Amino acid sequence: MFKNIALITLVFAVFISSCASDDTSVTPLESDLTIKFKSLYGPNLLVLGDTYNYLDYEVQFDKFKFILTDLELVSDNNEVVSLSDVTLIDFKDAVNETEAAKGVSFDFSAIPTGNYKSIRFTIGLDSGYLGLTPADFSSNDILAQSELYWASWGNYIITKLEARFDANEDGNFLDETFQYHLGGDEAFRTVEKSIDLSLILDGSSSLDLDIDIKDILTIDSSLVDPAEWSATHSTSSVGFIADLLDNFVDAFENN
Amino acid sequence: MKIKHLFLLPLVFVFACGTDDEVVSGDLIDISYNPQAYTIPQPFGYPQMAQPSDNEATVDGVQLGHLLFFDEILSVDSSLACAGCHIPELGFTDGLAVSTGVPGIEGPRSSMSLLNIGFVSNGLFWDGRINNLEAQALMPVEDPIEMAASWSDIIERIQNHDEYPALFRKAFGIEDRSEIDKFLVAKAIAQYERSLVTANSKYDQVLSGSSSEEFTDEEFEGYLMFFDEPSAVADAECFHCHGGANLASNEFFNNGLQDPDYITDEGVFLVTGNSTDMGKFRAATLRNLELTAPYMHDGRITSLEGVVDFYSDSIHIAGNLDVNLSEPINLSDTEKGFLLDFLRTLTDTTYLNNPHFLDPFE
Repeated sequence: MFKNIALITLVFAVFISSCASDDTSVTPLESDLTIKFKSLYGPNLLVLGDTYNYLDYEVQFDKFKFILTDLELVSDNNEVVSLSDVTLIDFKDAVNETEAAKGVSFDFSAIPTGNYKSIRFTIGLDSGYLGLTPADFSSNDILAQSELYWASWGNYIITKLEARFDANEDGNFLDETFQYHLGGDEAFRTVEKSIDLSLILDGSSSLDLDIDIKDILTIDSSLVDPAEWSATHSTSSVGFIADLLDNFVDAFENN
Repeated sequence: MKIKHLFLLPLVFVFACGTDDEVVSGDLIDISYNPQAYTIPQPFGYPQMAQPSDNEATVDGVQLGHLLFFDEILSVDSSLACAGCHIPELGFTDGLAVSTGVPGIEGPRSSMSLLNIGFVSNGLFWDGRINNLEAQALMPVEDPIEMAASWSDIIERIQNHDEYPALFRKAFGIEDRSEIDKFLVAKAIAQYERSLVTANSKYDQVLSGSSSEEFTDEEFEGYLMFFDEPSAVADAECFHCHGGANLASNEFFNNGLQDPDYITDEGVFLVTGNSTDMGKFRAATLRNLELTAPYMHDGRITSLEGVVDFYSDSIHIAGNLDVNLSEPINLSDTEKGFLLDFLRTLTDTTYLNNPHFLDPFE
């Protein structure tokens, strides 16, 4: 008798167990994605410390970094997938062709499968970040870094672009310099680029976004002259800062 | 060997004579382990200090680290403690151009201040070669020009110590003294180092409004110069590299200190091999400058006045000189005076009234 009861109980348990399994263990349809940012100077990879032509100068770039927020994918069905909140794109390792080609990569996992038509993000920090300071973050957070905050303006520096120029080909690259540290209450721009991205189950895809410094530095069809604008440290720079930020929007290409 | 370590000798003798059979497993298990989180201060303007998830500070961990930091037991001949090169009264530096280790050999670089070191998040040392305090604390013990010991010897001393095993139990919950290893030693020291937080200078008090302190006119002019605020005096460009609450940076710079034709220390280049990093060093905190002479990575500038003179008039033009220094600043004597007056407002000696920052063996 007890054997039969035990057998019935076992069969019932197996039955329940199998039903429960079907109901709860829905396999998510997810995929992995790597997004790689590369910096360019016109048709060339941007290599820090390498020499390029720039107006009548030779130029060497020292630093290029920017804060990117609210990185999202937009699906063909207009569903938005959030990938990250605040990211620092820092090309500090682009000191030779190999490293420049590697770019700055970010790996994302568990992205819903499907077809995506655009990638969207903000260059800088939108109004939701106004009033925040490094003291509002943990010391290992991007927004806690002192070099990205300018207390005098009460704002984050959302991009740093620094370069030095040789005006007479004598090898002295300190004839002119610029330090474009962009910030301000309105220092953010939304970028949306069309993509053709299909993420399949358990797949691993990549998406390359190139940003051309020449595009950023071209205003009124001409590269900015460092002799005219060497820094962005005063309130008189606000219009210039806005021009450079506007240029960011069109400086990205998806390849 | 100091007297405080003579008591180790009988213990060493007993353990040396003992057999493996006599080692009692779990010899610390009767000692209570009740970790209490240690609250690391967050001074005005500072971020919240991040801690590694596997080594969050506890009261007992910090206390153990405090003892280890000041204990000469960590050096080969028990003559040098961490505090030997990081002296509290000198802003946790050592007052020397370059530090001298146990064998009397000079190292290549100047001791860096440890005050507020826990807020640094992009590599430690002048060249950023180590990622965190736990990894850093492992290095001096076996460095032949620092403590010149071997970890196996040091751990044997600590395992056989009268008091330390119980303190390791309280700090980390180990059950047996044999579980003490170099990594736990480093963790305890790192916890203590993260607790070395102070920001109560005149500068802090003015900024936070925590007291009735006000800048003098001269100090205020220097403040405006330091931060390139609009004023009639020159911009000194300091804040580009020495900004934020800690007046430091997580970036590395070539500040034109070395003649590019006679580089004596290649700085970050030694770590990365990138030519763009040649002669670059960390922009260290300017807090407590008055206490931390001599200055720069090799202590070549002996006075604060000399530092201001250097940045004003004597920068070497290197290929990767930081662009913020590309234009000579050429301050007048009056402007130099303003800047010096401001820099002296960064001095904070209030921590010296707190035993937590001082030698617990004295």
